[in-house]
Amino acid sequence: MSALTHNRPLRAITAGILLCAIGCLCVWSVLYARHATAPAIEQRHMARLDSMAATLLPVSASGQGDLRLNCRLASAPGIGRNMPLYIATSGGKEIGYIVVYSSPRGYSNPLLLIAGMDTSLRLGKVDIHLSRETPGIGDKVDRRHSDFLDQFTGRALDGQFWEVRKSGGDFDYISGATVTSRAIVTATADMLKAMQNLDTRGLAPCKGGK
Amino acid sequence: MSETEGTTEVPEMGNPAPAKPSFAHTFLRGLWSENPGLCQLLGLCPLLAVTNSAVNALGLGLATLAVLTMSSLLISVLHRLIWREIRIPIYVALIASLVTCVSFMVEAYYPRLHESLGIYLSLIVTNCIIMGRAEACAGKSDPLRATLDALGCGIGFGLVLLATGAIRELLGTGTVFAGGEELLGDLAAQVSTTLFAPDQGITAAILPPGGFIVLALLVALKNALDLHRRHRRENRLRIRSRRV
Repeated sequence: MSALTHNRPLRAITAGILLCAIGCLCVWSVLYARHATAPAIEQRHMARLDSMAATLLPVSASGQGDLRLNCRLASAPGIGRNMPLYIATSGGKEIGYIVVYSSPRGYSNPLLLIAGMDTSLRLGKVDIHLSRETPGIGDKVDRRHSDFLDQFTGRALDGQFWEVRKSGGDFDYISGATVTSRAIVTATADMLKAMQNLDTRGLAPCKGGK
Repeated sequence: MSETEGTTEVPEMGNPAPAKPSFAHTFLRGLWSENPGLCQLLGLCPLLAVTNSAVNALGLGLATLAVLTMSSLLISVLHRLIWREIRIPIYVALIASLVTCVSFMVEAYYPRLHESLGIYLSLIVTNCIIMGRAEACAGKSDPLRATLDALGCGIGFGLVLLATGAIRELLGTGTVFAGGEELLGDLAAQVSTTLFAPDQGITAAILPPGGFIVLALLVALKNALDLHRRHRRENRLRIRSRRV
């Protein structure tokens, strides 16, 4: 021990090794925790998505029973890279799409939204899929806190100006969360534009075969 | 042995260690005299950012308390391995990986809790209160004392958060504990009260300047109370001495 307190190079090297060891231990524990909890997290994610999907489609499209979701990966400007796109079929007929899309204009990325629409691209319901917006400010647009997201129901790309009222558009916004409100409005418009040009049949299926 | 040491006051030859504070003092100082929110003004960023409603404040308070207690315990257990030269990087690594592991587990096994507390958990990694307590207390005391200290500071910080959050929410939106049922279940649905319509509130109270003002008022209130108490004590002494 005294050698360690008096011999400075030795002490420095030992300290370095000690730091390395503790660092490795930390990295290992994080990796282990991630590995151990990944299946449970994934399962919960899928379950939540399934229950969400059932409520997202427009009323006209859903409610015929026998609803099946076919997962594809979509990559397009306005949607994002490798975002899940669910083609909803009922009785072998396409009745609508549910798409997860990302917005680059929120306060902190990723801001992922999810929307359901029928085959003529009229929106069913828009919801937040994953949000890292500031708690208490950016999460005011959430369904739990306001009815901001309900105004998208039944809208289509044509017939409205896709901006918040503050900038002359047709959509209400939440004061105090204008940036997040605008991000959602413009991202939804971009997504609808992208959907018009997207060949949904040519998309690659998701991994895991859902 | 202890009797002889207790009765005879032999001056120690080496450097006399300062008297260790009692357990009660260790716990209580975090609540009042060394309150991280009101005296040390640590953790201002999450404090001001999150306290625009009582529920958010409570969420961050609980998350801070849990992480602070765990990190203090861990660091005090390992404090022989943590050399002075390398203590800061080790604290950073330990706290960051602890928080990450905890948030993974909460996400996997307590999904409801994760939905309401998840964002706060990742905010905590950067909270300087945890580093501050690791440096000031946990790194040089035994596990029991470190845990008590962390509990005191965590609860003290949580109470400041809660007070700031409740005042700002009340002034800004006229409600207290609105939306609490997501965090606490049905219990909070009864606590949640609305006093006046939201459009009559002072919006500035929810915005960042309101946070600074409310926090400053709380700090002023605490200082005033402390000053008042000291004055009373000194006055009492002076009157007594005059009579004699």
